[in-house]
Amino acid sequence: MSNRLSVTVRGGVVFAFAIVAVVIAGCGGGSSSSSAPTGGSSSPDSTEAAKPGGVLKFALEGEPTTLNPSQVIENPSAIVGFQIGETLFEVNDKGEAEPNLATGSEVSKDGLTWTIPLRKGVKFSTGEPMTADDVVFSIEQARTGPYFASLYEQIETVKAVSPSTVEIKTSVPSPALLPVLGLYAADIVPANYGGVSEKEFALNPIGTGPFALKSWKHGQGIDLVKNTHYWKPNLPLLDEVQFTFTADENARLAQLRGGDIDATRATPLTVKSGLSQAPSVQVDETGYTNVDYFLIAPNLPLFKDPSIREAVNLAVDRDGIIKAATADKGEPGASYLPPAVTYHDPNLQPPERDVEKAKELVAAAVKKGVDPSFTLNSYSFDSPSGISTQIIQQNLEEVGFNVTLERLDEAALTSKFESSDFEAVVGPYYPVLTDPTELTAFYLTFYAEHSGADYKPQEKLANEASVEMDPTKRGQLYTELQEMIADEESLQILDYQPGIMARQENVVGFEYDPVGFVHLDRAGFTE
Amino acid sequence: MTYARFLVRRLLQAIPVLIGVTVVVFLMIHLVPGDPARSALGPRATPQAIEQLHHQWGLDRSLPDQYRLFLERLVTGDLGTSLRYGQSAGKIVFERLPATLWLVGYALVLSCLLSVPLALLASSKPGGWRDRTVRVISVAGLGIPNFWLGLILLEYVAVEAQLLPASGSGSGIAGHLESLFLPAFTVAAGIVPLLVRSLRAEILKVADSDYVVTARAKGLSERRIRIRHVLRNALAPSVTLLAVSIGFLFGTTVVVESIFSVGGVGELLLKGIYTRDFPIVQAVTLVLAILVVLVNIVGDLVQGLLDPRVELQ
Repeated sequence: MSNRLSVTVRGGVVFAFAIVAVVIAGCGGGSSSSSAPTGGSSSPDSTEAAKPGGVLKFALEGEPTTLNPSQVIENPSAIVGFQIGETLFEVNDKGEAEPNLATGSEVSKDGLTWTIPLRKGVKFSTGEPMTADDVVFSIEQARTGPYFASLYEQIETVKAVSPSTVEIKTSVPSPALLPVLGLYAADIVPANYGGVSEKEFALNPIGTGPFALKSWKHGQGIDLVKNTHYWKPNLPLLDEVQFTFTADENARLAQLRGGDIDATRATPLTVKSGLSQAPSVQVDETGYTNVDYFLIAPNLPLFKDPSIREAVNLAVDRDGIIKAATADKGEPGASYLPPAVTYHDPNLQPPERDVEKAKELVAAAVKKGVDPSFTLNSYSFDSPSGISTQIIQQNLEEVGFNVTLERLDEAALTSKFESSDFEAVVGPYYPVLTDPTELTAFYLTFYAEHSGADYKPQEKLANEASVEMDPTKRGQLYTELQEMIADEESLQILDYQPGIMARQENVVGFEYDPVGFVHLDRAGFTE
Repeated sequence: MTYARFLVRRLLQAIPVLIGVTVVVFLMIHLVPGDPARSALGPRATPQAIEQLHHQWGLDRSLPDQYRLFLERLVTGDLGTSLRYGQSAGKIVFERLPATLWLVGYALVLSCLLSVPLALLASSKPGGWRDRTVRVISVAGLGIPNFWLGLILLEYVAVEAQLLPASGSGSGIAGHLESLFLPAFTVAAGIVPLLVRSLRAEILKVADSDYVVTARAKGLSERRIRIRHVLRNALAPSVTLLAVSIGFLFGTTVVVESIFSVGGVGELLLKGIYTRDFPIVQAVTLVLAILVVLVNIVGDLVQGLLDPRVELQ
């Protein structure tokens, strides 16, 4: 027996040594640019200033598909792109465009000709000076690109009138021109991509921003290095930013808690569960930018009747949804424009929940022969909408509807949208611009058109607002539009959620633009 | 049959198998709802831009036509251009393939390191407490979802105890061994129960063979008997099981790579399916199918080497 056992025991000992060896190797390796966190809580940014130097590790929710700004459509590409490129203007919290690579702007009396002087002394990361030709090329790329072309369609011509001045002519007065020029799609790049093909530029971008691309190991990570030609003095503070790619949000938060990374984006729901035992991780709310919506299709016989749409609006328990799906971080509202967008109407609120009235309305419709059954879709990638749909299903069945839930991936559900083959959808959307033009156009061309809503009056109002140069009158038009869309009740707003950035306690200086994208030029470590 | 003839014959037999894989995957990914152009351009893209992209990518052609174009390109070694990345699908796949190969190879090694001692332990005294313990663990292991195990290891080993990295595949041999241990263990945990059960059963069967009784009668040490006579002859079916399970292992990497951010082709395949990036899905499945076929051929060869009684045919 001892001989039989000895083989087994020896095998086990060898195996155990192998495991221990690997574990010891693991203990000796790995380094972090941040020191071990020592207490703290979710609190406002430290007043301690960031020190120059250091390597920031940032986990993205996926690998960028391109770093050519005019081709960027998803967050990972935009986040990395923000650190490499810059635009002529930046939009502040009030929605005003402030000069950045431009020093100002003048518009002609008829509102059709814009003269934009460029900042002197700006260089690309290659050391080449930025000129008006680069600006013309960049704006042409943005307005002929496939993604945001509709935002630039008012631009007729762009030309360099001098090496440091650009003239833009628009077909109609364009109050949104400067904010639109502040969209990342119009990042200034070298003319003709600096002599390389568009494909090559997408992998090796050049910009005027605080960082330059050092390396891109596909599937592994992107490294940015300080741009030594950056025009803002003494910036950036960081030596490097290393981006890694982790699709799963819980895994990213686990990496943050483990000290593998210094920062990542998150949502309120996962932060509540993922960071509850990590008091040293700071959580920044980057503004109420995300809209959770409930879209019902008026072209469906059930929802053609406005009283049925009203019944839905009265039955939904928004407080319950905010508590369960947003960890109580959401805010109620009824405007399709979230608070981060200019002219958002904070006075527009959803109706008070009234289950009895909703029951009456549904019962009256059923008496007329209406079938109160429908399918409610949601996106499989979005956990909060999964929770919201279950609550909504309960709420609506309580008042007499029959609701079937169906979760689909993004491509499949978008396909249903495009063929107007959906009945009701819960999902998120967010603006990419603080000017309401962008989100309004998106709502009208995607949601309204495909849901069968009577959006022509809304479209007329939106077109009027898009060319109104007087801010007060423009504000009134958008207020009217928000009321019109809310009264129509095919797009019902569940809540607005804040964007979340989770970072190590000793990482400070993160700046967020009004739509929640982070800028890292002043970011750094306190120790 | 000689090894060389066997190899050539098996490689030739693999060709129709691979063609069949491309047909099935092509049909499945094209028939799933969802427009890759809309997925690539986003909901804000104009209908004109989408139509232009359909034409550019040949998506406005019939399915047989698209498949023919795919095969024509494949013959020249071109796996197409990723709809999402705009780069060569083959290049994207081969950039990420090493991480997956490391992960699967590491998982295979861990599987063997875990299975053999456990099977020997269990079979040392059939019905004893060691045997029962190992068998209970095996059954329990069969029921544990690998994504759950991965998240548990991530949480408690990487995050709480900080023993190993929570993400990435590391660089250099030591870096790979360190960073990939948890994901490889997660992958290995899926087949170790099967290997242990198979190997244990085979060891017990072989242990009763006449030649083992003869070896014992000749006075050979128990250790020598168990290693040279019992284990060696018991390994053959497990080698086959391991080779056959390679497809399962590659399938497991799809989820495990996402949890641990390994950056391999499994994660790439998942993303390709979500975004309907047809060339990427086709390229990844074709490459993995080739690897599975090759591993199965190697498995047969190894089995022949282990057991000369096995005829290669």
